[in-house]
Amino acid sequence: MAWLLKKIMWLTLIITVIFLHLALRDWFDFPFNCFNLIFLFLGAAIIIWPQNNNLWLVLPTVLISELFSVVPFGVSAISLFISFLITNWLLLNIITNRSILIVLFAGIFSFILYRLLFYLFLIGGQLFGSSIDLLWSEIIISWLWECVLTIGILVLFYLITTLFTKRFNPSYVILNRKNIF
Amino acid sequence: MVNLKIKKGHFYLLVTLMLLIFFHYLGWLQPIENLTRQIFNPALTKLHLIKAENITTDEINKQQTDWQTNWTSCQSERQEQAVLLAQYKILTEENKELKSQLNFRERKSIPSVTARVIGKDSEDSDRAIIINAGELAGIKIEQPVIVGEGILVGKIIQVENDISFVRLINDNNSKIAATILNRKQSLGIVEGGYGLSVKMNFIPRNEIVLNNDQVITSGLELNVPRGLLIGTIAAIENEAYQPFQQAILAPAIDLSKLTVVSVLLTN
Repeated sequence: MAWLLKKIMWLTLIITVIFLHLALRDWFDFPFNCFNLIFLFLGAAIIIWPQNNNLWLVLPTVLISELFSVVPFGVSAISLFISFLITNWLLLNIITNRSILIVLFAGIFSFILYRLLFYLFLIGGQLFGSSIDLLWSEIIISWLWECVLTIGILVLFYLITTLFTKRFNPSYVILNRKNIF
Repeated sequence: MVNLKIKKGHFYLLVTLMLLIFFHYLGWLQPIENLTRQIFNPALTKLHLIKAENITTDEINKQQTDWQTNWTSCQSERQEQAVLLAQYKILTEENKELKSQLNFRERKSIPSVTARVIGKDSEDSDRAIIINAGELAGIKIEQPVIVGEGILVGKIIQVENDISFVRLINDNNSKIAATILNRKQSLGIVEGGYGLSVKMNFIPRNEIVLNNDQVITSGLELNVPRGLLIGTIAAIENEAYQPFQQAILAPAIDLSKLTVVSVLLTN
Protein backbone atom coordinates (compact mmCIF):
# COMPACT_ATOMS: atom_id res chain seq x y z
CA MET A 1 0.00 0.00 0.00
CA ALA A 2 2.80 2.39 0.94
CA TRP A 3 4.54 1.47 -2.30
CA LEU A 4 1.42 2.33 -4.30
CA LEU A 5 0.94 5.62 -2.46
CA LYS A 6 4.54 6.54 -3.15
CA LYS A 7 4.08 5.81 -6.84
CA ILE A 8 0.86 7.88 -6.96
CA MET A 9 2.68 10.72 -5.22
CA TRP A 10 5.48 10.64 -7.81
CA LEU A 11 3.00 10.51 -10.69
CA THR A 12 1.12 13.52 -9.27
CA LEU A 13 4.41 15.38 -8.95
CA ILE A 14 5.35 14.54 -12.55
CA ILE A 15 1.95 15.68 -13.88
CA THR A 16 2.23 18.92 -11.87
CA VAL A 17 5.71 19.56 -13.27
CA ILE A 18 4.50 19.00 -16.84
CA PHE A 19 1.51 21.32 -16.27
CA LEU A 20 3.74 24.01 -14.84
CA HIS A 21 6.25 23.58 -17.66
CA LEU A 22 3.53 24.02 -20.29
CA ALA A 23 2.04 26.95 -18.36
CA LEU A 24 5.41 28.69 -18.11
CA ARG A 25 6.00 28.21 -21.83
CA ASP A 26 2.55 29.69 -22.49
CA TRP A 27 2.56 32.53 -19.97
CA PHE A 28 6.00 34.05 -20.49
CA ASP A 29 7.55 35.66 -23.54
CA PHE A 30 11.07 35.19 -24.86
CA PRO A 31 13.60 34.80 -23.20
CA PHE A 32 11.84 33.69 -20.01
CA ASN A 33 9.85 31.00 -21.81
CA CYS A 34 13.20 29.29 -22.55
CA PHE A 35 13.29 28.13 -18.92
CA ASN A 36 13.01 24.32 -18.93
CA LEU A 37 11.19 23.16 -15.79
CA ILE A 38 11.27 19.50 -16.85
CA PHE A 39 15.07 19.60 -17.11
CA LEU A 40 15.24 21.36 -13.75
CA PHE A 41 13.03 18.72 -12.10
CA LEU A 42 14.97 15.79 -13.55
CA GLY A 43 18.28 17.60 -13.00
CA ALA A 44 17.43 18.12 -9.33
CA ALA A 45 16.53 14.42 -8.97
CA ILE A 46 19.63 13.16 -10.76
CA ILE A 47 22.33 15.77 -10.05
CA ILE A 48 21.48 16.90 -6.52
CA TRP A 49 20.30 13.52 -5.22
CA PRO A 50 21.96 11.01 -7.59
CA GLN A 51 20.49 7.54 -7.21
CA ASN A 52 20.17 4.83 -9.83
CA ASN A 53 16.38 4.65 -9.45
CA ASN A 54 15.89 8.37 -10.13
CA LEU A 55 16.60 7.79 -13.84
CA TRP A 56 13.19 6.09 -14.11
CA LEU A 57 11.63 9.54 -13.65
CA VAL A 58 12.82 10.45 -17.16
CA LEU A 59 10.50 7.89 -18.74
CA PRO A 60 7.01 9.18 -17.76
CA THR A 61 8.02 12.85 -17.53
CA VAL A 62 9.50 13.20 -20.99
CA LEU A 63 7.13 10.83 -22.76
CA ILE A 64 4.05 12.71 -21.46
CA SER A 65 5.55 16.11 -22.27
CA GLU A 66 6.38 14.89 -25.78
CA LEU A 67 2.65 14.48 -26.47
CA PHE A 68 2.51 18.29 -26.51
CA SER A 69 5.52 18.86 -28.74
CA VAL A 70 6.10 19.35 -32.46
CA VAL A 71 9.43 17.53 -32.24
CA PRO A 72 9.31 13.91 -33.50
CA PHE A 73 8.26 11.59 -30.69
CA GLY A 74 11.16 10.07 -28.75
CA VAL A 75 13.89 12.54 -29.71
CA SER A 76 13.71 14.46 -26.46
CA ALA A 77 13.26 11.31 -24.34
CA ILE A 78 16.25 9.46 -25.78
CA SER A 79 18.60 12.45 -25.67
CA LEU A 80 17.57 13.36 -22.13
CA PHE A 81 17.91 9.75 -20.97
CA ILE A 82 21.41 9.33 -22.45
CA SER A 83 22.50 12.70 -21.10
CA PHE A 84 21.29 11.97 -17.56
CA LEU A 85 22.58 8.36 -17.67
CA ILE A 86 26.12 9.62 -18.37
CA THR A 87 25.82 12.43 -15.80
CA ASN A 88 24.45 10.00 -13.19
CA TRP A 89 27.34 7.60 -13.84
CA LEU A 90 29.86 10.46 -13.54
CA LEU A 91 28.31 11.63 -10.26
CA LEU A 92 28.20 8.12 -8.76
CA ASN A 93 31.66 6.96 -9.89
CA ILE A 94 34.00 9.86 -10.70
CA ILE A 95 32.92 13.19 -9.16
CA THR A 96 31.31 11.88 -6.00
CA ASN A 97 31.81 15.06 -4.01
CA ARG A 98 28.83 17.46 -3.83
CA SER A 99 29.47 21.19 -4.01
CA ILE A 100 28.11 24.19 -5.86
CA LEU A 101 30.80 23.82 -8.53
CA ILE A 102 30.04 20.14 -9.07
CA VAL A 103 26.32 20.91 -9.45
CA LEU A 104 27.14 23.73 -11.86
CA PHE A 105 29.50 21.53 -13.87
CA ALA A 106 27.10 18.55 -13.92
CA GLY A 107 24.19 20.83 -14.87
CA ILE A 108 26.03 22.47 -17.76
CA PHE A 109 27.53 19.15 -18.89
CA SER A 110 24.20 17.32 -18.94
CA PHE A 111 22.46 20.28 -20.60
CA ILE A 112 25.03 20.59 -23.40
CA LEU A 113 25.03 16.83 -23.93
CA TYR A 114 21.21 16.80 -23.99
CA ARG A 115 20.93 19.59 -26.53
CA LEU A 116 23.75 18.22 -28.71
CA LEU A 117 22.09 14.80 -28.84
CA PHE A 118 18.68 16.42 -29.33
CA TYR A 119 19.74 18.34 -32.43
CA LEU A 120 21.84 15.42 -33.66
CA PHE A 121 18.71 13.25 -33.59
CA LEU A 122 16.68 16.02 -35.22
CA ILE A 123 19.22 16.31 -38.05
CA GLY A 124 19.15 12.52 -38.30
CA GLY A 125 15.35 12.69 -38.41
CA GLN A 126 15.52 15.15 -41.32
CA LEU A 127 17.22 12.46 -43.36
CA PHE A 128 14.15 10.32 -42.79
CA GLY A 129 11.68 13.04 -43.77
CA SER A 130 11.10 15.03 -40.55
CA SER A 131 10.05 18.60 -41.40
CA ILE A 132 11.58 20.58 -38.51
CA ASP A 133 13.44 23.66 -39.78
CA LEU A 134 16.61 24.44 -37.87
CA LEU A 135 17.76 28.08 -37.73
CA TRP A 136 21.11 27.79 -35.99
CA SER A 137 21.56 31.44 -35.00
CA GLU A 138 18.21 31.45 -33.17
CA ILE A 139 18.79 27.96 -31.74
CA ILE A 140 22.10 29.00 -30.16
CA ILE A 141 20.53 32.12 -28.60
CA SER A 142 17.66 30.02 -27.21
CA TRP A 143 20.19 27.43 -25.95
CA LEU A 144 22.14 30.06 -24.07
CA TRP A 145 19.03 31.50 -22.44
CA GLU A 146 17.73 28.03 -21.57
CA CYS A 147 21.09 27.05 -20.10
CA VAL A 148 21.52 30.25 -18.08
CA LEU A 149 17.96 30.21 -16.69
CA THR A 150 17.65 26.48 -16.03
CA ILE A 151 21.13 25.82 -14.63
CA GLY A 152 21.06 29.10 -12.68
CA ILE A 153 17.87 28.05 -10.93
CA LEU A 154 19.22 24.49 -10.43
CA VAL A 155 22.25 25.90 -8.60
CA LEU A 156 20.03 28.23 -6.59
CA PHE A 157 17.79 25.28 -5.72
CA TYR A 158 20.87 23.29 -4.60
CA LEU A 159 21.97 26.19 -2.37
CA ILE A 160 18.54 26.46 -0.76
CA THR A 161 18.21 22.71 -0.20
CA THR A 162 21.73 22.41 1.30
CA LEU A 163 20.86 25.27 3.64
CA PHE A 164 18.06 23.13 5.09
CA THR A 165 19.64 19.69 4.78
CA LYS A 166 23.06 20.69 6.17
CA ARG A 167 23.23 24.07 7.90
CA PHE A 168 19.78 24.05 9.51
CA ASN A 169 19.70 20.29 10.05
CA PRO A 170 19.35 19.67 13.83
CA SER A 171 20.84 16.15 13.58
CA TYR A 172 24.31 17.71 13.25
CA VAL A 173 23.83 19.61 16.49
CA ILE A 174 22.61 16.46 18.26
CA LEU A 175 25.58 14.51 16.88
CA ASN A 176 28.02 17.17 18.08
CA ARG A 177 26.49 17.19 21.56
CA LYS A 178 26.84 13.45 21.78
CA ASN A 179 30.51 13.72 20.79
CA ILE A 180 31.18 16.49 23.33
CA PHE A 181 29.43 14.86 26.27
CA MET B 1 38.50 1.08 -10.10
CA VAL B 2 35.83 2.73 -12.20
CA ASN B 3 32.81 0.58 -12.90
CA LEU B 4 31.99 0.81 -16.61
CA LYS B 5 29.28 -1.87 -16.60
CA ILE B 6 25.74 -0.74 -17.44
CA LYS B 7 23.34 -1.38 -14.55
CA LYS B 8 20.56 -3.91 -15.11
CA GLY B 9 17.93 -1.33 -14.14
CA HIS B 10 19.29 1.16 -16.68
CA PHE B 11 19.26 -1.49 -19.38
CA TYR B 12 15.60 -2.31 -18.63
CA LEU B 13 14.83 1.41 -18.65
CA LEU B 14 16.47 1.89 -22.05
CA VAL B 15 14.62 -1.12 -23.48
CA THR B 16 11.28 0.14 -22.07
CA LEU B 17 11.93 3.57 -23.55
CA MET B 18 12.83 2.19 -26.97
CA LEU B 19 9.79 -0.12 -26.94
CA LEU B 20 7.43 2.73 -26.00
CA ILE B 21 8.81 4.91 -28.82
CA PHE B 22 8.48 1.98 -31.24
CA PHE B 23 4.90 1.31 -30.11
CA HIS B 24 4.10 5.02 -30.54
CA TYR B 25 5.16 4.95 -34.18
CA LEU B 26 3.17 1.75 -34.69
CA GLY B 27 0.15 3.58 -33.27
CA TRP B 28 -0.41 1.05 -30.48
CA LEU B 29 -0.22 3.73 -27.79
CA GLN B 30 -2.88 5.90 -29.50
CA PRO B 31 -5.67 5.18 -26.92
CA ILE B 32 -3.39 5.93 -23.95
CA GLU B 33 -2.03 9.05 -25.65
CA ASN B 34 -5.53 10.29 -26.48
CA LEU B 35 -6.63 9.66 -22.89
CA THR B 36 -3.61 11.54 -21.51
CA ARG B 37 -4.32 14.47 -23.81
CA GLN B 38 -7.99 14.42 -22.81
CA ILE B 39 -6.90 14.65 -19.16
CA PHE B 40 -4.46 17.49 -19.83
CA ASN B 41 -6.42 19.51 -22.42
CA PRO B 42 -9.18 21.04 -20.20
CA ALA B 43 -6.70 22.16 -17.56
CA LEU B 44 -4.32 23.52 -20.20
CA THR B 45 -7.19 25.42 -21.85
CA LYS B 46 -8.05 26.99 -18.49
CA LEU B 47 -4.41 27.93 -17.89
CA HIS B 48 -4.23 29.49 -21.34
CA LEU B 49 -7.48 31.41 -20.80
CA ILE B 50 -6.16 32.87 -17.53
CA LYS B 51 -3.24 34.31 -19.47
CA ALA B 52 -5.32 35.44 -22.45
CA GLU B 53 -7.89 37.22 -20.30
CA ASN B 54 -5.42 38.65 -17.82
CA ILE B 55 -5.30 42.44 -18.17
CA THR B 56 -2.89 44.15 -15.78
CA THR B 57 -3.54 47.51 -14.05
CA ASP B 58 -0.91 49.14 -16.27
CA GLU B 59 -2.77 47.96 -19.33
CA ILE B 60 -6.07 49.38 -17.97
CA ASN B 61 -4.43 52.76 -17.30
CA LYS B 62 -2.87 52.74 -20.75
CA GLN B 63 -6.24 51.87 -22.28
CA GLN B 64 -7.86 54.85 -20.51
CA THR B 65 -5.28 57.32 -21.82
CA ASP B 66 -5.44 55.84 -25.29
CA TRP B 67 -9.23 55.99 -25.35
CA GLN B 68 -9.53 59.75 -25.85
CA THR B 69 -6.97 59.93 -28.66
CA ASN B 70 -8.59 56.93 -30.32
CA TRP B 71 -12.02 58.55 -30.10
CA THR B 72 -10.92 61.73 -31.88
CA SER B 73 -9.13 59.79 -34.59
CA CYS B 74 -12.21 57.57 -34.96
CA GLN B 75 -14.38 60.58 -35.70
CA SER B 76 -12.18 61.76 -38.55
CA GLU B 77 -11.86 58.19 -39.84
CA ARG B 78 -15.65 57.89 -39.78
CA GLN B 79 -15.98 60.83 -42.13
CA GLU B 80 -13.38 59.35 -44.47
CA GLN B 81 -15.16 56.02 -44.35
CA ALA B 82 -18.46 57.58 -45.31
CA VAL B 83 -16.82 58.80 -48.49
CA LEU B 84 -15.15 55.44 -49.04
CA LEU B 85 -18.44 53.64 -48.49
CA ALA B 86 -20.04 55.63 -51.25
CA GLN B 87 -17.12 54.84 -53.56
CA TYR B 88 -17.31 51.18 -52.52
CA LYS B 89 -20.96 50.96 -53.46
CA ILE B 90 -20.25 52.38 -56.89
CA LEU B 91 -17.34 49.98 -57.37
CA THR B 92 -19.43 47.00 -56.21
CA GLU B 93 -22.05 47.78 -58.81
CA GLU B 94 -19.37 48.27 -61.45
CA ASN B 95 -17.65 45.03 -60.43
CA LYS B 96 -20.92 43.11 -60.58
CA GLU B 97 -21.56 44.43 -64.04
CA LEU B 98 -18.07 43.57 -65.27
CA LYS B 99 -18.22 40.08 -63.74
CA SER B 100 -21.46 39.32 -65.47
CA GLN B 101 -19.94 40.50 -68.71
CA LEU B 102 -16.88 38.25 -68.25
CA ASN B 103 -18.96 35.26 -67.11
CA PHE B 104 -16.90 35.24 -63.90
CA ARG B 105 -17.47 32.18 -61.76
CA GLU B 106 -18.08 32.99 -58.08
CA ARG B 107 -15.32 31.72 -55.84
CA LYS B 108 -16.54 29.05 -53.46
CA SER B 109 -16.23 29.96 -49.81
CA ILE B 110 -13.53 27.89 -48.12
CA PRO B 111 -14.78 25.49 -45.42
CA SER B 112 -13.25 25.96 -42.00
CA VAL B 113 -12.96 24.28 -38.60
CA THR B 114 -13.21 26.28 -35.39
CA ALA B 115 -10.90 25.26 -32.56
CA ARG B 116 -9.91 26.41 -29.11
CA VAL B 117 -6.29 27.22 -28.19
CA ILE B 118 -5.14 24.98 -25.36
CA GLY B 119 -1.52 26.00 -24.88
CA LYS B 120 1.96 26.17 -26.33
CA ASP B 121 4.43 23.58 -27.57
CA SER B 122 6.45 22.00 -24.73
CA GLU B 123 9.76 22.22 -26.61
CA ASP B 124 11.62 25.39 -27.44
CA SER B 125 12.76 24.50 -30.96
CA ASP B 126 9.42 25.62 -32.43
CA ARG B 127 7.22 28.31 -30.95
CA ALA B 128 3.86 26.79 -31.78
CA ILE B 129 0.43 26.85 -30.18
CA ILE B 130 -1.73 23.78 -29.66
CA ILE B 131 -5.39 23.73 -30.75
CA ASN B 132 -8.02 21.17 -29.77
CA ALA B 133 -8.90 19.92 -33.28
CA GLY B 134 -6.90 17.51 -35.36
CA GLU B 135 -6.91 15.04 -38.19
CA LEU B 136 -10.38 13.82 -37.28
CA ALA B 137 -11.75 17.31 -38.00
CA GLY B 138 -10.14 17.32 -41.44
CA ILE B 139 -7.11 19.43 -40.55
CA LYS B 140 -3.93 18.90 -42.58
CA ILE B 141 -0.41 20.31 -42.56
CA GLU B 142 0.16 23.77 -44.17
CA GLN B 143 -3.46 24.89 -43.83
CA PRO B 144 -3.81 28.55 -42.80
CA VAL B 145 -5.19 29.45 -39.38
CA ILE B 146 -7.24 32.62 -38.99
CA VAL B 147 -9.25 34.54 -36.45
CA GLY B 148 -12.36 36.59 -37.11
CA GLU B 149 -13.27 37.23 -40.71
CA GLY B 150 -9.80 36.62 -42.08
CA ILE B 151 -6.85 37.70 -39.95
CA LEU B 152 -4.02 35.24 -40.52
CA VAL B 153 -2.34 34.03 -37.32
CA GLY B 154 -0.31 31.06 -38.56
CA LYS B 155 -0.15 27.75 -40.36
CA ILE B 156 -0.61 24.14 -39.29
CA ILE B 157 2.75 22.35 -38.88
CA GLN B 158 1.77 19.08 -37.21
CA VAL B 159 -1.47 17.18 -36.84
CA GLU B 160 -2.42 14.49 -34.35
CA ASN B 161 -5.81 12.77 -34.05
CA ASP B 162 -7.33 15.26 -31.65
CA ILE B 163 -4.90 18.19 -31.54
CA SER B 164 -2.87 20.25 -34.01
CA PHE B 165 0.17 22.48 -33.73
CA VAL B 166 0.03 25.97 -35.27
CA ARG B 167 3.18 27.90 -36.11
CA LEU B 168 2.34 31.55 -35.45
CA ILE B 169 3.38 34.29 -37.89
CA ASN B 170 5.79 35.70 -35.27
CA ASP B 171 7.72 32.42 -35.00
CA ASN B 172 11.33 32.40 -36.28
CA ASN B 173 10.58 29.61 -38.74
CA SER B 174 7.42 31.20 -40.13
CA LYS B 175 7.59 32.46 -43.73
CA ILE B 176 4.50 33.75 -45.55
CA ALA B 177 4.23 35.22 -49.04
CA ALA B 178 2.62 38.65 -48.64
CA THR B 179 1.55 41.77 -50.50
CA ILE B 180 1.44 45.35 -49.28
CA LEU B 181 -1.71 47.22 -50.23
CA ASN B 182 0.18 50.19 -51.70
CA ARG B 183 0.14 51.56 -55.23
CA LYS B 184 2.53 48.94 -56.59
CA GLN B 185 1.12 46.02 -54.54
CA SER B 186 4.67 45.29 -53.32
CA LEU B 187 5.49 41.65 -52.74
CA GLY B 188 7.63 40.27 -49.94
CA ILE B 189 8.03 37.57 -47.31
CA VAL B 190 6.61 37.98 -43.80
CA GLU B 191 8.85 36.42 -41.15
CA GLY B 192 8.76 36.23 -37.37
CA GLY B 193 11.39 37.05 -34.80
CA TYR B 194 11.62 35.13 -31.50
CA GLY B 195 7.85 35.22 -31.09
CA LEU B 196 8.13 38.94 -30.39
CA SER B 197 7.98 40.73 -33.74
CA VAL B 198 6.84 40.31 -37.33
CA LYS B 199 8.81 41.75 -40.23
CA MET B 200 8.43 41.80 -43.98
CA ASN B 201 11.56 41.20 -46.03
CA PHE B 202 12.47 41.29 -49.73
CA ILE B 203 10.41 44.38 -50.59
CA PRO B 204 11.92 45.97 -53.72
CA ARG B 205 13.79 49.16 -52.78
CA ASN B 206 12.28 51.32 -55.51
CA GLU B 207 8.68 50.77 -54.34
CA ILE B 208 7.13 53.28 -51.98
CA VAL B 209 5.91 51.78 -48.72
CA LEU B 210 4.23 53.94 -46.09
CA ASN B 211 3.42 53.44 -42.44
CA ASN B 212 -0.09 52.06 -41.80
CA ASP B 213 -0.22 50.35 -45.21
CA GLN B 214 -2.01 47.03 -44.80
CA VAL B 215 -0.26 43.73 -45.48
CA ILE B 216 -2.22 40.75 -46.79
CA THR B 217 -1.36 37.27 -48.01
CA SER B 218 -0.36 37.33 -51.67
CA GLY B 219 -1.94 34.03 -52.66
CA LEU B 220 1.35 32.96 -54.27
CA GLU B 221 1.70 30.21 -51.70
CA LEU B 222 0.06 26.82 -51.92
CA ASN B 223 -2.96 26.47 -49.57
CA VAL B 224 -2.93 30.11 -48.41
CA PRO B 225 -5.59 32.15 -50.25
CA ARG B 226 -5.02 35.77 -51.22
CA GLY B 227 -6.43 38.52 -49.03
CA LEU B 228 -5.96 37.29 -45.47
CA LEU B 229 -4.94 40.25 -43.34
CA ILE B 230 -1.56 39.94 -41.63
CA GLY B 231 -1.07 43.40 -40.16
CA THR B 232 -0.04 46.96 -40.90
CA ILE B 233 3.34 48.56 -41.54
CA ALA B 234 4.73 50.06 -38.33
CA ALA B 235 8.26 51.02 -39.45
CA ILE B 236 10.31 50.85 -42.65
CA GLU B 237 14.04 50.20 -42.98
CA ASN B 238 15.38 51.25 -46.38
CA GLU B 239 19.18 51.20 -46.25
CA ALA B 240 21.20 52.33 -49.28
CA TYR B 241 23.62 49.39 -49.06
CA GLN B 242 20.92 46.69 -48.98
CA PRO B 243 19.24 45.28 -52.09
CA PHE B 244 15.79 45.13 -50.49
CA GLN B 245 13.90 47.16 -47.94
CA GLN B 246 12.44 45.71 -44.77
CA ALA B 247 9.33 46.65 -42.82
CA ILE B 248 8.34 45.95 -39.24
CA LEU B 249 4.68 44.95 -39.00
CA ALA B 250 2.13 45.47 -36.28
CA PRO B 251 0.08 42.24 -36.31
CA ALA B 252 -3.66 42.77 -36.75
CA ILE B 253 -4.30 40.85 -33.51
CA ASP B 254 -2.43 40.18 -30.25
CA LEU B 255 -0.93 36.76 -30.98
CA SER B 256 -0.23 35.97 -27.33
CA LYS B 257 -3.90 36.16 -26.39
CA LEU B 258 -5.56 33.88 -28.91
CA THR B 259 -8.37 31.76 -27.53
CA VAL B 260 -10.44 30.64 -30.53
CA VAL B 261 -9.16 30.21 -34.08
CA SER B 262 -10.42 28.81 -37.39
CA VAL B 263 -8.48 26.51 -39.69
CA LEU B 264 -9.20 26.98 -43.40
CA LEU B 265 -9.50 23.54 -44.97
CA THR B 266 -7.77 24.55 -48.17
CA ASN B 267 -6.15 21.30 -49.32
